[in-house]
Amino acid sequence: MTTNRREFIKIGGHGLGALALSGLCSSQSSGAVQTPHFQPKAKSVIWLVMNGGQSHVDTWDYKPQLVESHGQKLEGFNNEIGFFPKQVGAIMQSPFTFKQYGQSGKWVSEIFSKVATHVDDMAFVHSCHGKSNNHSPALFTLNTGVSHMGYPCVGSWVSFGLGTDNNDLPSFVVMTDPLGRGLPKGQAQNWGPGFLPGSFQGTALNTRGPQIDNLVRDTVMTRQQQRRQFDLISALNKEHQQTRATTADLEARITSFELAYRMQTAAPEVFDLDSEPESIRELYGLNNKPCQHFARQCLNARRMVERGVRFVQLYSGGTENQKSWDGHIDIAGNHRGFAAEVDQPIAALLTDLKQRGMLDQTLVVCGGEFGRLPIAQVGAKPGRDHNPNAFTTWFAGGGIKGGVTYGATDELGLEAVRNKVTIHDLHATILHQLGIDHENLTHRFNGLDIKLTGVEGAELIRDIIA
Amino acid sequence: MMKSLSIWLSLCALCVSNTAMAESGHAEKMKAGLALFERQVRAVLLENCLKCHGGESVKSDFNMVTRAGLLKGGQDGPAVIPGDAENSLLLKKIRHESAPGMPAKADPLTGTAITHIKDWINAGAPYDKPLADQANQSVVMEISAKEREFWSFLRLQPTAVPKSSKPRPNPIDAFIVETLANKGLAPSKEADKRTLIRRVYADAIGMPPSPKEFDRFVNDPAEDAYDRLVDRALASTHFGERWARHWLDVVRFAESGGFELDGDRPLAYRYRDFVIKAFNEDLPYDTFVQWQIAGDEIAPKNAEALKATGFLGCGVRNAVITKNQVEKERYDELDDILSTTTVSMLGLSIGCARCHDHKYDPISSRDYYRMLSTFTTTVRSVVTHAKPSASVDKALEAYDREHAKRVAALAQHEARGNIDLLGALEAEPVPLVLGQWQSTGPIKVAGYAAGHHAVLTPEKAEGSRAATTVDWRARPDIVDGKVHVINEANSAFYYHRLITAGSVTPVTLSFGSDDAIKVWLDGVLLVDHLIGRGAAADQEIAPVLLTKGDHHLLVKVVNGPGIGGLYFAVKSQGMPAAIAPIVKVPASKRNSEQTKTLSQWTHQFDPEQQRLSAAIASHLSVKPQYAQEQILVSTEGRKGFRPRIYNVQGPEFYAQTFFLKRGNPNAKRGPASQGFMQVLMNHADGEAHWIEQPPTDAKSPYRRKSLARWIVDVEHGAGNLLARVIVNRLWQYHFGKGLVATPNDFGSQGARPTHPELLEWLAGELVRNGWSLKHIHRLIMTSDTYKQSSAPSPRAASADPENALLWTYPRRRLEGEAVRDSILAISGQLDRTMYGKGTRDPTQKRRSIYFTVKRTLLNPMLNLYDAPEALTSTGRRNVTTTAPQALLLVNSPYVRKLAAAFAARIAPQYDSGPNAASELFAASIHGSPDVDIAVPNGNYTLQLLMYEGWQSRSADIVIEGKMIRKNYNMFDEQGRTFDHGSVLRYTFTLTDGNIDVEFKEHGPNIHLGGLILSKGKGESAVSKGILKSNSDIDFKDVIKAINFGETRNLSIGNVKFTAAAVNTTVDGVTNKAAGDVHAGQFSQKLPTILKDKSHVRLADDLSTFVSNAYRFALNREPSNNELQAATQFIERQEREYVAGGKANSRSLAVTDFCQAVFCLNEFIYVD
Repeated sequence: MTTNRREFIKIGGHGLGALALSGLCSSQSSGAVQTPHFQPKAKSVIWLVMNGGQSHVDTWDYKPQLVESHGQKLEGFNNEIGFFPKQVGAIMQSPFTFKQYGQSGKWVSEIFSKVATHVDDMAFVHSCHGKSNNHSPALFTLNTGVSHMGYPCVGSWVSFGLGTDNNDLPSFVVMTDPLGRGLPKGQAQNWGPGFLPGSFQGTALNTRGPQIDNLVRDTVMTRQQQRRQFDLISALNKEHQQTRATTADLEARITSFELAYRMQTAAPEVFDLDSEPESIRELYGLNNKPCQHFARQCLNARRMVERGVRFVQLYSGGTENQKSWDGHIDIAGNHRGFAAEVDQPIAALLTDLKQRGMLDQTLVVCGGEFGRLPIAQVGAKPGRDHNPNAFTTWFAGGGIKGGVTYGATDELGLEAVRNKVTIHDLHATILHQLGIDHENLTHRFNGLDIKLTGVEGAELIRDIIA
Repeated sequence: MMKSLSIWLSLCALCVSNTAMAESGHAEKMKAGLALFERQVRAVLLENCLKCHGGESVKSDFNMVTRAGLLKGGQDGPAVIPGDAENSLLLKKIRHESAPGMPAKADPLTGTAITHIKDWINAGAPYDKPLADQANQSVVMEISAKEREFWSFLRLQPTAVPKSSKPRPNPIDAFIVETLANKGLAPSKEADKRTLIRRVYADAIGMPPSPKEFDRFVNDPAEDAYDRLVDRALASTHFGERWARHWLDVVRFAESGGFELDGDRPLAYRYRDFVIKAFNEDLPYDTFVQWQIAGDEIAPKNAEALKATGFLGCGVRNAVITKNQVEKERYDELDDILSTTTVSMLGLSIGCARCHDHKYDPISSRDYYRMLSTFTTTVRSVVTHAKPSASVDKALEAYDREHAKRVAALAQHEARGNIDLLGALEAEPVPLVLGQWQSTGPIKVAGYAAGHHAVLTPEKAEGSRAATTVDWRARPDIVDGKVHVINEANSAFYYHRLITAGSVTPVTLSFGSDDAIKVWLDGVLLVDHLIGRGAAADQEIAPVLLTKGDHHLLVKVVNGPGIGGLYFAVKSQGMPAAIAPIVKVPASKRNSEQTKTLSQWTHQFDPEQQRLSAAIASHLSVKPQYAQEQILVSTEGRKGFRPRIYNVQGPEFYAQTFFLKRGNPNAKRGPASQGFMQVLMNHADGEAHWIEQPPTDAKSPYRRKSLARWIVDVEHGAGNLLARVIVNRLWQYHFGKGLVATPNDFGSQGARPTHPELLEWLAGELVRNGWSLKHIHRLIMTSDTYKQSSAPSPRAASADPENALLWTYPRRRLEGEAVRDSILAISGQLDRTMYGKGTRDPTQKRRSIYFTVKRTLLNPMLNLYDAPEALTSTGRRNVTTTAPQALLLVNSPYVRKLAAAFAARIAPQYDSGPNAASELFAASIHGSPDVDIAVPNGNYTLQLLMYEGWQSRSADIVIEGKMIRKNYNMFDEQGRTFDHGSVLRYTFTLTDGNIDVEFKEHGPNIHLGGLILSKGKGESAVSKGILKSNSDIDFKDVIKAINFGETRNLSIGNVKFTAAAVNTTVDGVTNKAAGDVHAGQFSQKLPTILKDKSHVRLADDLSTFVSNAYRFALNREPSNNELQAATQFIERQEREYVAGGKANSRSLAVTDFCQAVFCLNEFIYVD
């Protein structure tokens, strides 16, 4: 079918890389940029999602005023901001101590003392804000720019736009909590392709068993026997192809089997962390019980990025409440626990990327779907309720300035007040670092040209770009 | 405050500058006028005038939303002269001094209201702000003639079929050929028969034809063989399953709410079943559409119409909603319903009009909210509906006849009744004379129950008389109205007395007893109560109607352990107050009410009446009932269905839909009343033409029914677009691409039709033929255009590389569902059960459409093959080709299992002689009743082999030494594994006539792995039975907990068997025979046994495997190259398996080959 050929070529700019998981498509899609709009700063993105909503005032957004006002009622507080309107408590200081780090003198909470040593490579955006105070719409927004289901994730847009530099691996990989604490709310819709072709969806690694489905042949067969089977398929398909008029689709499918065969070999190699030297394993914390699961994932992320995977998203924490950063109860215990899971691995990731000279080309993004309120959520051990009006996202590497702080919340951290940044702005900035103009990455669906950054417009966070 | 007021004043002053500026005291006047307006006038205008004059419509061109509009007036000139109320038309109208008086068709305004308006006009008629929001509400987006003339919005155009040199019976071809000819092109020649039947099957059914179905068509020389093939395909029940899937894509069908909880909607599958059935039965498309929008209003008694409304309710719906989001979420849900309706049915996206007028298409924000209001109060709900059933209908007929007899008997009796007696009733009856009690007893009994049931001598006397054979003693000690104590345990007593009535009289007798009691009056049993208790007053009440004279009262009390007792009193005598006056009226003069009251009163004295009544009541309890079916509907006025709600802090819906500023529920601009898309309305009455007022008893407002009326209206409404969109969808699924390439966008940004006249003609053809979709399917599928070969044509390819003009049939890849269904079908594993609840089990064997669609847990295989995410309408699926798809086919254990099944199926077995019997069983085990087999007469042996150490709950089935099925799962869920080898062995005899099969049990020769380990004792007890071919054979109880050394009688259907478990000895080691072996689930249909054995072939080499696989999967023989490649492959694989020490090397090697067949492009692409 000739159309397939042409449509194939339109997207075929992904190169062979895209073929691995996505590129062989003959679809209605258009608008892919194929080559970047401009010289990209970053080749890959590693996005660390602090799932459940990390409290900005207990981590990165230092608020000494909270100590002053501790225990006082917050006058005029609208109890519909949080999730539990009837559990509104008094202003609560952070249970953690803060101190200054690096040349930039950035104040950081004690629970991130290891990541804090990298502040001079990091850019903090304190003025992020969203609209939903509810996990799944907020997560959908964080991932897709839209609060309901059915839109492509940033990683899908990026894969759609750029493909991957890799022949044998997916271009967009997601890793979720491996400790049985569940998937982030909204589950796979968070890395779904929406209306983009299905091949652009994130590949979520299995948390148990083989990381990717169907990578292992039936144990009864030898490798040689399966190779012979692939050869038979190829031979018979080529025989068939000779008698057909147009062949792009048939060819693509023949190729897909070859790629499949290669993936079987390549993928297990990526995940073989035993091949890493002990010093690296030690650095990430592979032998450190509280953080070893996240350490494995961070190391996996580096290894994948090294092999050309375009977009890796990593979730810290499971579904909700005490299984994630969702510290409604006992913010102190909750955040101390989760920080202990991620502090060393994230610090190691930054160290490792830098020492390999990869940090410049790898954009690291870290944050949650919203922040938390500066007041207590009442309870025996007070927690903090959701706060969509203020949260911090930090960036490192990938053409981002180091030691920078952008935007600010009010003195309590209740609301973003200066240089406010929307999630669309975050998305636009991520795309920009990858060489994509967010205004020009569109997909026609049901009569509309849809963009990741929506119709309201978005602005780059220029002040953090190197 | 002062400041803002003065700003208003100055603005208003500007407004009126040309009329009253110079007047002195103007500012004060205006201030007073404004106050009047704000406090009194605005409300009156809003309530009584605005709707027709700027709110929802602009009647007589008079729009009073703004002051300027008020002054400008309408057709009759300016409405108001500021400062001069008496000469203002508005005042004349509201005073009904000028016709037509206002408000039209409503009560006139009150005098006070008129006075306020008069004063306000005299004060200059100032406005503080417009009466309504102009952006959304008052300004009707002007739709230009040019916009109305956009091709898809036009009325259906009469289209002449082009004339061509060669007569073309199918008009589609005339259109296609003409367009091709204009480009100097010609269609391709007709495809060969094999290609055609595979195309028709893939397209209409979604699975390849079986070899038998293939032969039937290919060997049919008749001229209309192809047309009949198409008819068969369209009549197949699989057609609905195939095409329903397409529609489910379009309507974003899923069975859960999405978002984080993704709660299940367990009855959502009813909608899927509706679509399948509708397509199979060719429900007219206009009805199909209308039922989906308003089936509950249009055909509330029709279960299918109710199921159809699942369309509205199968979208996403968040279930975790915080307080400040409740209304927004409801608007989101309404938006999903409206957007899906317009996209799926009209091919128009309306969603962006939520925030602003549509940028490209003439759809205003006003249209959006007015249409949105259609669904304001629509909710999901569950109704219980009686399932129609012919057999219940029939049973009910019989029941009704029987019931009528009972009712008639009662009526007949009542007509006679006791009425005769009533004539003698006296209002003031003569008091009763109560004779002395006499008693007999105690009579020893085993207990009060036994004594109660025993018929003792005193109660045998006729008419309850005190029989003289019994010893009675007078009992003056028994006093009426007091409990008489009985001291004898486990004894029966009888008490008798005479009651003499001096006149006909109703009497109420009261009894108490310890324990059981029976009472007779003149031989009629009045009380019969088996009970253990203490005696007290009024435990039994017996109304009687006594005739004048003597009456015998006999009471039996049976006391259990301890003391007993009797209580008696005459509770009342005479008629109740309500009856006495009626009795006085002569029978002939009583009115019907009186007669009825009297009759009902007499029932208590009438045991026969009571018996007949009871008979009716008990008959009612056996009334045949229709099976109840629960349906998930979208409807109104019922309790909503919301699964798994968490923290929802608001109502499920709101009573009104408002115009919203930029879609923001916090920025409301007045309520929206129902309307439709202006550009698709072409009637002088506007929306009123379709809006139907609900009947007074309706639970719902009929807004959806009104929308349904508009959407199918070809003359004045949206029916033209509706028809175009659906014929284009059908075309697309038949050819891979629609005549309009954007099936969900028929607006200005969408593609234009490649063949506008053809599309127009097809849409007209649909409407002309009662909206029959099958008519269009048949037209398309029997066209030469459809029958073209997909062979290359370099010349045409250079002229029309996109094949937009259809000079060839475009090859297409099967969707994931069709790939999976085809694999199941060819490997003989498909379970063809239709309808009903689905499952998410990826290994289920029904067609893929029966997978439960859960939004957050989509089927991984279908997901890989581009199945939509079921979040918004998908008009055309993406077609991607990826490595994970390939990995699934080569590495998934499930696919591997199906390959093994396919391998077993294609084992050479089309063979006369003993193998034919094997085939018989193989076919039955594979569930393929459509395979005909010739089986010669003879004795056959069936063995079920269970191997030592076999870890699964399975057995091998061997017939005549030939392996039919390895590892067949025969055991129930509780079945444990068994440790030791065991063999069950039967023989059966096939007698001539080829139909009846006789089974015999054959003594336990012990086979293990094909070796005879020990000889049995020969034939043991023979049991016989008949199994007809094409009947069900049930192996359920074949093997059940046979213990070591035990022999058991078992049965297959009605055939009895003996089974044994014995020791086996291998290499000198004795193994105990099977320990715990459980019953198998093994019910199969026997294939038809053919008398004609002509097609039976003898073959048993690898090429037969290959050839069979090709016939099943590809409906052809392999080429020499293919045959060679395949057989060499199998040989090599087998050799390596043997070298690797694998058992069953042959079947493993063939499985490898079968799996490769699943991966062939030819299997997955349709030529």
